Amino acid sequence: MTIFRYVVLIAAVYFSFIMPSGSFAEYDYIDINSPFLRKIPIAVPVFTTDKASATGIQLSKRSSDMLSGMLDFTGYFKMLDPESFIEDPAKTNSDFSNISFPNWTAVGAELLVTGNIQAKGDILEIELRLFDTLKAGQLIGKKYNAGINDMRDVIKRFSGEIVYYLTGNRGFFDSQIAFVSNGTGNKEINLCEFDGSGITQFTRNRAITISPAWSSDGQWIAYTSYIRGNPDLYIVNVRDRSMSVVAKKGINITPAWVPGKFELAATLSYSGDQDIYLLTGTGREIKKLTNERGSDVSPTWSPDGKKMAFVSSRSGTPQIYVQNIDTGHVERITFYGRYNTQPSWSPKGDKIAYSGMNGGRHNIYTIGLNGKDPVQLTGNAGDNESPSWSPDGSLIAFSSTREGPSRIYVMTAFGTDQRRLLAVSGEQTTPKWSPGLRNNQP
Amino acid sequence: MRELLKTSGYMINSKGIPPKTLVLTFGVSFLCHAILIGAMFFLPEYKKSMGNPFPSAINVSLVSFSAPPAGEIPVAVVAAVQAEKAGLKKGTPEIKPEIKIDKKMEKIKKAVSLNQEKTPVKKIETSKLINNAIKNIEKKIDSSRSATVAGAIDRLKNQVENSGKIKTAGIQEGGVKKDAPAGIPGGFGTGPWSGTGGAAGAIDIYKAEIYYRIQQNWAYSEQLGGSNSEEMAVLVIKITPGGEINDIRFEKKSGNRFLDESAYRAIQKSNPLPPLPKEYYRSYYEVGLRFGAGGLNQK
Amino acid sequence: MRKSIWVVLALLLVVPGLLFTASCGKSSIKADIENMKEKSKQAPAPPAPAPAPVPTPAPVVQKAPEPVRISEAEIRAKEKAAAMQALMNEDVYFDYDSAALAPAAQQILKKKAAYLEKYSDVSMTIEGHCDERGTNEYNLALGERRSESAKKFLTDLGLAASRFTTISYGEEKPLDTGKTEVAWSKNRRAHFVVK
Repeated sequence: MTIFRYVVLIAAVYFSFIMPSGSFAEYDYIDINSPFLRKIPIAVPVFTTDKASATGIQLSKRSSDMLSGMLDFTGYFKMLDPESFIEDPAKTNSDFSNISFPNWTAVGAELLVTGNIQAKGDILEIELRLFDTLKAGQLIGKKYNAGINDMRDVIKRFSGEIVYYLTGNRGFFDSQIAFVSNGTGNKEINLCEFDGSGITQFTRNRAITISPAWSSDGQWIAYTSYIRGNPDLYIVNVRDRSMSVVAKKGINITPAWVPGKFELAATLSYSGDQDIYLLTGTGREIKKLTNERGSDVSPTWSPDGKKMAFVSSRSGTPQIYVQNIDTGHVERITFYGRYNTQPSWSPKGDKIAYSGMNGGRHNIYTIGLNGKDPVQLTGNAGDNESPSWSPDGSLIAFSSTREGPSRIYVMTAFGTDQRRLLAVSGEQTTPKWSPGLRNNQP
Repeated sequence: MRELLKTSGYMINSKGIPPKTLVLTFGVSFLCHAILIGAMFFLPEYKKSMGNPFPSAINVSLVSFSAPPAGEIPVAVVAAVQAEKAGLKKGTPEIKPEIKIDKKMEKIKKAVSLNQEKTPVKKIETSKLINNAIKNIEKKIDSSRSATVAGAIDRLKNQVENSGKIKTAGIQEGGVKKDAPAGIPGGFGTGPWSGTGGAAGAIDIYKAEIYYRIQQNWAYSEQLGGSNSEEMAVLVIKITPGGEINDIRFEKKSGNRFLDESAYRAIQKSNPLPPLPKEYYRSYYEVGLRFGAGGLNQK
Repeated sequence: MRKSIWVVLALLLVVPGLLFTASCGKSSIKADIENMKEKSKQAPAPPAPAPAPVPTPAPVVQKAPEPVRISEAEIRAKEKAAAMQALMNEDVYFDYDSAALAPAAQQILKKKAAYLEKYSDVSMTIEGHCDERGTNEYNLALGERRSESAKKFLTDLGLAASRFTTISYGEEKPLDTGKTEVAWSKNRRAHFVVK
């Protein structure tokens, strides 16, 4: 090579390496480490209606309040105060083509829901829309025709649409919660809607009835009851009340249905040791799942049905273990505290919630399946037990004695927004959240 | 020497390289390096496209402001100004007559003149002092009074401008004399907003305002997006002198759609920002914003 | 060998017989002695007061055995009733989160065993209970372990397992609903019910 070419080559190499294409920025940076608002601000102004109709006016307030309540329940949203709104939706066109989005961002809204409700005899026509005020566009638009008594259903569906848009999951608006209450003098199983409304008594056994468990299609509830003077396992169809019984000698307790199958795990002690067995949905034994001496109780399944977490006393104190059903491999996952029970596997598959007792108090913890440390969710007020996840894994129902008598509470999966779900006579314990029940209304 | 070269040459290429070529190569390489490095340090235009190899990332943890009683200069600012005197060179600073100095400033001026003896030329980092002042004030704050923030920031601005002007009059720094009015870039500095003088302080205060307004508008749900402290969204905005944000782009997305979108929205909601400081002379102000959700873990 | 068998047989047949006659004899002797006492009471009397009419002892003696036989059955019935009460009244207590039997618990069980040995026709239900701390499901298991622990102790002493049924109530049926250690310790129990 000639010297000239050599020089050019070297120069080219050096310059190409050193010429940065923006590797050093020419501007400063500002670090912003935490948001001011921890929820998405959303505005739900009163729905519009035919002003001449008294029913319409009543319904429009009721339905927008209902939607606000449901969105608030999710914990995702901060509901903005309607008193602060600048824009009056009644002045916008029926197709909302002349919404002034700046009026909404001015009051802090990032999302806006508008609705129009018309009552025509026994029929309701409800039009609901979701807007992004910053992108200045409509995200969802739905028109529903429903019977006048189905308004709540319509609102639930639209709430599901909003949550689906944000998370890809329809949420929990069509789910129910089973729980135990002794207001009648005996512990019986009751049901309510996801937000604590519409309480009905499910069992009338007039004997101690506890530990409800939903099948994954929502058609069956299994529970333990002393109807015959012994803790026996009952498997009841929610619609037609047909029933199977597992009444072996000893205890027949803690049922937990396998996801996607007509099978359940339960603890039976007829063999002399308290072990977890796999049963068919009609109560016939398929196989024994645990084998160690000692108490093995409270199974809970991973969403894919391949693993089971449960409580065992095999190491001396009650701790939580995870067993791979295919391989039989068992590993302990709780090492903090001497009393860890009532595990509940998140429908997202990544965490297990459980009740841990420390210093004489029970609190709810979650622990990841990857060996990370447990996170305490409840703050040492009363005893907090029996966690149960909502079907989308975003909320946890649990029982708490922080007010005195045991009540059902709900909180987000991160432990925020802890609030009481309901309060009826007697004491309420062991809530169990159903799967989504859209097509299975009992 | 030749032997040495020959040996080295031999090691590179088994056939051997003539010593001449080696010397030439080395010489050219050295020359190229010298040119480049010299350019980096001596030619501002070149340096601009290179970027600042030492970017200053300012982490301002603003919570909010509360208004100090009117007319009183916050103690911290006084301290900042007093600290400046330590670095003043001998000789009374030339105070431009048109500057209004209130009583306290007069006292400081006197203190300054009395302290001519104080030698060490400390490179004063006004920006840091002012930031500390701001931080000290913030610590006594209560969350939500935006009007008082604006008022407080304006007050600080004025005070810094005054103190800045006192200072620039006689300071020599880094060997490059700056007797220009505050705001014009000196030779060695950090770009069009030099590290000394009123402009630097003003821009730092402006950055604090940006931080405050955008953070106040940032809504992020940990429930939706999670709270992974490793995730960070970096956006870059351009602000016109009137305060309008006329460009928002992602320098780096976090990979978390909720985090990215919430950051974008926070900026959108903060438009327009206050006008740029008068001292800032360019046609727009470009700044990067790093949004991280890690702070959520602190309870 | 043969000699010893004869000895045993003799003992088995003769001794109870002797005992039986002895007891009968006892009562008649008792009656006689009582009569004698009466007589002796009245005997020294005559020299001083006027001669009192002496009742003929014979009819009294003949009536005497009947009341004794009835009261014996009654006594036995009463004894058994008392034993059943004792079996049910006294609970066996446990330490927190434990199904182990402390010495005090074992003493109580031994007493119950004695009664159960005496009354071999008696069957019992052993209930296992827990205090309200701890969670409901785990306490159902613990309650069963407690009742089983008591049962095993009794069967180890020689009593037939078929005489016992165990049942767990967990924390569902507390005796004392207080929130103190005193209340809790009362609830951590195995309770016995005669069937």
